[in-house]
Formats: sequence, structure tokens, C-alpha cells
Amino acid sequence: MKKISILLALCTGLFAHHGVPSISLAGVEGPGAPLETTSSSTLPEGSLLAYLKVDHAKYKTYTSTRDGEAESSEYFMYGLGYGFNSYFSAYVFVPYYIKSQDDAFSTSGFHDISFQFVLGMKYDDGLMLTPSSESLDDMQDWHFTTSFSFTLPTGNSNATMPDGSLIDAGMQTGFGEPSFMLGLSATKWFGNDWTLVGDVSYNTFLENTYSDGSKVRFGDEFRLNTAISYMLYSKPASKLRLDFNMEANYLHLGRDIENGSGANATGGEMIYLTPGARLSYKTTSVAVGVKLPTWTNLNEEDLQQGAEGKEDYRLIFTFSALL
Amino acid sequence: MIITQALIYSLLAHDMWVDDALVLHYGHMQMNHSHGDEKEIKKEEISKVFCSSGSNVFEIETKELKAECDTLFIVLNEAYYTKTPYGTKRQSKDKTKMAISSFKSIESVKRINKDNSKQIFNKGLELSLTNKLSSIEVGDKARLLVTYDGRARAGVSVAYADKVRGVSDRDGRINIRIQKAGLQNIKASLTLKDDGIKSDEIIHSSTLNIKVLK
Repeated sequence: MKKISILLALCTGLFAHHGVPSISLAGVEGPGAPLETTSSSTLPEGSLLAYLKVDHAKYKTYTSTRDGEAESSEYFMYGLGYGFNSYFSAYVFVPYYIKSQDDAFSTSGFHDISFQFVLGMKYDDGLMLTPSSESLDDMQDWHFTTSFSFTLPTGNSNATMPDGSLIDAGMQTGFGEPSFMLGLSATKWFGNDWTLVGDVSYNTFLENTYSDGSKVRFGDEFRLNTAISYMLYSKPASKLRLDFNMEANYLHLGRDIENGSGANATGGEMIYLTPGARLSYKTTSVAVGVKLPTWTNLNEEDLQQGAEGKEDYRLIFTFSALL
Repeated sequence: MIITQALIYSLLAHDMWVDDALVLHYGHMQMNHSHGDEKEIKKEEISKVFCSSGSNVFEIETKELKAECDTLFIVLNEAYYTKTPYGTKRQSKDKTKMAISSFKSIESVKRINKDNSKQIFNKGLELSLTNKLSSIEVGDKARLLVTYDGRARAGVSVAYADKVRGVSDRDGRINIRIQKAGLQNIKASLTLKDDGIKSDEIIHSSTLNIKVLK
């Protein structure tokens, strides 16, 4: 079974930054925000965040014939967040995906709903919860977040082919069971145009029993992301800002377990490089980036067409608005 | 709003400071920014001078700035400014023909010289330190409390090194990182509505001077 990219898209979408720049009294200032690497921001108290992420993945195909190789995918992530106070935010995300093969077969639908809870902290002569108001000097302190996410099996994990056979578990629009993720992030704004961001996260899945009695437990996932953000342009009077980001995204995928045994052609590790840009206007922001698999060490490299690390590229777009 | 912004920019553009010889100045503390308009503020322009020494707080009737004060707080005379089609006049709105808008300016300067002295004088807008002056070095934060008539005030703009660094939080607190050794000039600004007779707005501005040795 191929472990398909919905897992990656869902998990990074869950934990990734939501693209709201820090906008101070003096104008558009504060830390930058990458696309895939989680920055250590929390939502302002009482604010609502609307969020959309689109991730288009184009896979390398091994043959020129129409033989069922994964060709492309589109992942849509609709999100809503709320800042309960300055240091605690919660989000709900509804993913939708379309996955196409080169033989015209495709699956699509809403995937499992997910929830995320984020606790913000900073270091200022000691570790403390993120305060409600910070000066430009306070924003230069190291900031951190810790987060917990889980999905509920609201998607369909038992979709069938016209002949009644189950579609491959990796092509289903649901995991069938909850999944859980823990994450940590750290952000340092240097008080000028530069911001350094890093995060780690660990994602684990429960074993699901499908309607035909087969069992699958997707492999655990570990991520380590680092990013630098550089402010290319800002116009404080109109609160307009443009940032360039460069990210390195490491992903380790555990081997899937099928009916108690390790599944062939699953798992491995890889590094993506992700150049991108973010345009912010007041409290609205759009970002685009291209995620390029730069180094891979997959378990069965030649058999993992359509898996993470086997993309030509991933094109990512996000939109967020703080209300 | 335009007046408010103008004043904030004006606040950023000019300094007031008490030097080591206890002379109150107006102009540019960093002379490379100077427009040549530096001047010493005379007693006639000062409304009140307060002094704290240990736990004693008193008003200096003579308006002399005294070396024995752990903290000095100087309130300048109030001034009205009224904008008209033919320029800005230094007088109240009710005494000005064709007034467009006006504000009353209330300015003050505080110099803190020692730890553990009483710093809050309950007179309009004030900036005070909540950490020890003697412990602050370059790169450290000056942890400030903004008060208005002695009570913590949120939402007050605070500027340092020619830049607004932020606004005070709900507890009146804001932190500023010291950038260079020497006499520091930290400024706060608060705009309140007036009744529209003599002025439309009252703009309070207050400067805090502290000396950071290293």
C-alpha cells in the first residue's frame, strides 16, 4: 500500500502557521511567518481567524503508459481559529482532497475533521505565557508554542470500487480512526528584517479495521522544519508587507502496518526545500510557495511512486484573515 | 486624529531632558539630529517641580532642580494650540477666529537617579521604572509602568530611539530594551477628549530620563 500525501497535507496544514503577521502600532513590524514551518504566534484574545490552504502535488511517473500511477493531488484545508486569550488558541480544520491517477481514476471528498489547541509562551527573564500586549522589544524575545491536535474519523474510510471491492486505504477520504499529534515551535525575530523559525512534531495513528476485515495502521510521522524569513518590502502607512521565506522541511515516515506486518513500499525520510513569499495587508495575508523534494531515502524507493518524496513539486497557496 | 498623529510625530521629533548638571533642555539630545533649536527651559515655563528623596515626596516651590532628589518630576505650563486657515496659533480655541481644531498640551519630564525612591507623583501622565535602575545595562529591558493621575493606564504610546515601540498593556506596563549607554529618553503620549470650548483634545506627553552606565 502506498502511503499517500493526504497525511502530509493534513498534518502540516494542521500545525502550520496561519499567516497572520504581527502588526504593531508602528506599522507592519514583527516576526515573519513561513508557509510550512510553524511560527510561534497565537491569535489575539477574542479574534477569529479564517484560513484556507491549497496544496497541489504533481508526482513523478515511472512509466509513460496509463497504468494507475498517481499523477497529481489537490488538497484544500478550510480552517477557523479563535483566540481564547493571548496565550491559548483553538482551531478546527476541514480538509477536502482530490487525488488523480494517470488512468483517469480519482477519489475526492471531505477528509477527517481536525482540532488543534495551541499554547503560546515566551522567554523574558524566565519562561512565561504569551502576554496580551508586547512592545517591539518584547517581540524580539524567543517565542514558543506547544500544540496538540487530533482528527476524528468523519471522512469515508470504506469507499468501494464499482465492483464492490474496497479502494486502497491510502486513497480513502478518512483514516477510520482518530490520529494524534504533538508539536513544538520556536521563533526568533531579530528586530530587523530577519526571522528564524523552527518546529518539531510527532504524529501517530490508530489501527483501523476496514469493512473487508483488513487492518491498517499508518506509520508514525516525525517532522523537523526550519525557516528563515526576510522582509523584502514594507509600507507602514498602509500596513503592507512582503516577505521572502526559505524553508527546509525534514519528514520521517514510519512504515505502515498491514494486518500486523510491515507494509512494503511505505515509509522513509526526505527533505524538502520550500522557497516562498507572503504578502500581508493589515490582518489579511496570502502566501505562495513551491515545495521541492531535495533529498530522499525511502524504504523501497523504486516502488513508492506517488508517495511523499516522489513529487515533481508541490505548489502551496494559503490565505488567512483575522477578524 | 490628524492633530494626535502630528503631536506623536512632534513627540518623536523633539526631546526634553534633564542633564547631569540638572538643566532642563528642549531640542535634540543626539546633536546629529539637531535643527539648531535647542534651548534651556526656564523656570517661567515650568508649572511645578516635585522631588522624592527616600520616602519623602514634596513640591519644590522655587522650581529649582535639586541634586539631592532621588527622582525629579517636572510639569511644564499648559499650552493651547489652535489650527486656523492662516496658521497654528498658540492660544485656546475660544480666543481664536476661524478655528479649525485645537488641543491643549500638557508635558512633563521625570529623571530617576536612584533605586527605591518613590517615583509616582500622581500628576497626569507619568512613566516609572518597575525594575531597579542600578541593575539595567545596555541590552536589558527597562520595565516601565505608565500611570495617569497615579493609576495604571493602558493604550499609551511609548517611543524610544526615534521610534514608537508599542503601547502599554491593560496593567499599564511596557518594556523597552536599552540600546546605548548614557542618558535615556523614553517618551509617552496620551490623547484625551476635551469639551471643545478651549480645545478639542488634551494631549499629555511625558518623558522619562534614566542614566545607564554600561
